[in-house]
Amino acid sequence: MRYLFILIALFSLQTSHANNKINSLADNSNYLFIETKTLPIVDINFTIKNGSTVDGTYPGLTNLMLNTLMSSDVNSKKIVSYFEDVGAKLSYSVGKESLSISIRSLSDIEQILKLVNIINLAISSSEIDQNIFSLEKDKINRNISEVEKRPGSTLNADISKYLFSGTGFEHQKIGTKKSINKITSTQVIEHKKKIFNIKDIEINIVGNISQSDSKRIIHAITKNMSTESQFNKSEYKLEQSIHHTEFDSTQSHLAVILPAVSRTSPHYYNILVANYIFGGSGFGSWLMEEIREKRGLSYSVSSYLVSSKDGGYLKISLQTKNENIKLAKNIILDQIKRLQLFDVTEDKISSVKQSILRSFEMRTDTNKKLLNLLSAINSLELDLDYFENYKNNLNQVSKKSIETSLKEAIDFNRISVFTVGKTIEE
Amino acid sequence: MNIIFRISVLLISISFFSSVQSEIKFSDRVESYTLSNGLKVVLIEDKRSPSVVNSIWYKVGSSHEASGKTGISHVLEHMMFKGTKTLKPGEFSSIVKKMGGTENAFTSKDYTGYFQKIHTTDIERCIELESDRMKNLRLDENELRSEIEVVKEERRLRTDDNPVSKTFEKIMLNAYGMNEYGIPIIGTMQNLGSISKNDLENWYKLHYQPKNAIVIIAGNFNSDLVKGYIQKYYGRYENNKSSIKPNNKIEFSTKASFDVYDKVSKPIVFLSFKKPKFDKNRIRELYALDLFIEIMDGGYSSRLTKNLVDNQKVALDIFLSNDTYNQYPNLIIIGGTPRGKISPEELKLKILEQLSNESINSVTERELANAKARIKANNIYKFDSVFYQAMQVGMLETKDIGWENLDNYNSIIESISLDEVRESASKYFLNNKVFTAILRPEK
Repeated sequence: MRYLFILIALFSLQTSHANNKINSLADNSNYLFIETKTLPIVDINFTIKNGSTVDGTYPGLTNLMLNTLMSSDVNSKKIVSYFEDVGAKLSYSVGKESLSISIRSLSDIEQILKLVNIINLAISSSEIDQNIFSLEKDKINRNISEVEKRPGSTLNADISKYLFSGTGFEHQKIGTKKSINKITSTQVIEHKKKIFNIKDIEINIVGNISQSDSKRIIHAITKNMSTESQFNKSEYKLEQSIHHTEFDSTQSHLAVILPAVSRTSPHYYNILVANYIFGGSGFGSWLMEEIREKRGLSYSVSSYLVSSKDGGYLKISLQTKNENIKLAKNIILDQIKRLQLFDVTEDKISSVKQSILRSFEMRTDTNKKLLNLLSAINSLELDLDYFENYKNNLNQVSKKSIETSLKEAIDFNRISVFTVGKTIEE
Repeated sequence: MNIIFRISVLLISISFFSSVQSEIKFSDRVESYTLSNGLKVVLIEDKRSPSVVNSIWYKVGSSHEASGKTGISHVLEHMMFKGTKTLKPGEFSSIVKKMGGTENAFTSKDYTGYFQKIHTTDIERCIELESDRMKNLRLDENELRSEIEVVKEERRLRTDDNPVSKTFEKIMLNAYGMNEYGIPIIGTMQNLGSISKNDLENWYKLHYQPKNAIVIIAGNFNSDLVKGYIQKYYGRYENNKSSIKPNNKIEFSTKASFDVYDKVSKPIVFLSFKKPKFDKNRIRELYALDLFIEIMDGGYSSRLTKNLVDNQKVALDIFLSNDTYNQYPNLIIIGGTPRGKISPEELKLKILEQLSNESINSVTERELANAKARIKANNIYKFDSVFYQAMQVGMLETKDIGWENLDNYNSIIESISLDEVRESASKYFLNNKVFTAILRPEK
């Protein structure tokens, strides 16, 4: 493959389709719905606004809880069997700030309701099968050991640990072996009760399903759920750090991080366009030109604007053979200086804006992408007329506004650098 | 009671799917034809959004390469973005980017593909650009040397620092030597360094010809206009006189078992079973094998996971890989990670128990019905992605297996009996030699 990482994540919210109307359901802005009739498919996502940041003193607790829960039996049959027996799909994951359960099914509402009821029963249950609990612990402990064996995942662990030092974002969602081994099934049950509540749930539904049937799904998943939110939000605070982990690999992995903007910052669109030019758009971006196209130093190099509701950062990353890491790092730092100066013409900015706007209509060509869009709108609390707002905000971006945002919103004096790899003496 | 239950489950599954299955077929949305120069065209209409995928597939991949020049198809794929007689290096990508489109390319063992996903109004320009690089590629020595370094980095990232990928590479090499599917797609580090501009030019001229390519366009487009563009831009090309000759077989020896030591926290067992190339005359047998594989490893509730992970507690996870439409002999690979104090050798025996005569004969009608339900539903889900529709067609057409088989697959799968599943499973697993590789934590 010519380029592994198509950098569309940057545009994960830039999606629109004229015929796709976003509706909120049951007068609740946490329940969003888009009806599409072209395929007999329904995609559903339940997001709970509690992720690994609410693990407290037991890193990995939320992840262990969700994995144990979803591997459990309901009425002596595995949850996943109910889905797989009828060709439906069940997936789940834990992030730092949320956990998510997704269902894909053919559009048979009674079938879907049965499946959602199974999930609801599992959430409501106060029991844990010790065999499943033990298996999930073993699997997670193996995964923790594997993280230590991979340079890429070691880099990510280092970033969490040092960039978010002292906050709930500090630990990896899978936790530590020490913590996992200590967690009891009682703690998992108690944690589950606190995690799943109506206040923290967001529901997104896309597909060949009516509004009234969607409401039935919402009722089915939320019935008997607690109404109280139990957790306080974790502080979002970035520390500056320069850190290297020695690692016996053929490549060194590098991440350079600059504190940037939250998704709701007025500077967001300016930084988005600047980053597109800098390294967020793959081929033709400055980073790609300097690192890969001119020098052949890396297969993939990118700059990703990681923006959440409370903060954000620009993450530049690449991998190169150990001998080249110093050179690659210096080029990245030079390009950051170039970004700070931002000697770019209005014509270039105008052309980039056009590209982004042109991509709008093509970004929601599947139900899956629509579901991801709804999920993002929901979790970032963006407006339902998001599409129009997005276009309007992007159209207002100019060279001057970008320069202002780069000065005011990016802290170029607090660059963090993380490397993992084998040091080669010169 | 048990019989009644089984029948009712089967009936529920059949009635459930019959209501939706008949609504989605490739034949309802596909138009295909061949230009006079041999270029095959497949148009797939899907007007859900204004986007369209323009793709071209060449029937060349690593399985066509020769020892000493492995990785050349993939290197050529990279170089296809480095300019033509009229475009500068990177200009192709820059034009697509300005359109707001995305683009990429991929090389497999059997084919090399290129695609752009763009707004329907930009389809003519993309067809023109894609046709341009079929004939007018400009290879520059400096660009090649630099890009070879990029590919080496790709190899380090995907293979050399990835113990599981590295083990898969060794397993295929052990089974087939540097022949056909034994050749790594990305090539060996040594071979990458020796690929010359001249090698690439010859490879390009030999394989990038209309008669060796398929244009697949999927999404929202005006069929008459697109057919006109294809004729205008591709119809003008003639084929080269050169013809593709099969490579001489490289001698090799196969070990029944071997160990690999690398950076893993726990051992991983890989058991391989040889499988001959896809043969249309054995289609029922091969699809019956697909069903057996689905029963064994189609999901987390399938036999291997249920028996070995959940019940016997001897594995942490289980995997199975198989390609239905392999155009050269291939391997079915089954493996997993032993749990706790279970040794890799013990897990191997436990996996083989699941493939024993007794186990194969214990497959039930209910398991078969569930497997059919999953396969059918998955085939509907695949229509959600316009790109994946093109991908499914391309993966078959490049092996000279018509796209019509995508529709036939569903009806044949539906008609396969339990006896056929058991018979096929016995043939491929019971009466077949097993090759073992164990990836162990380095000492």
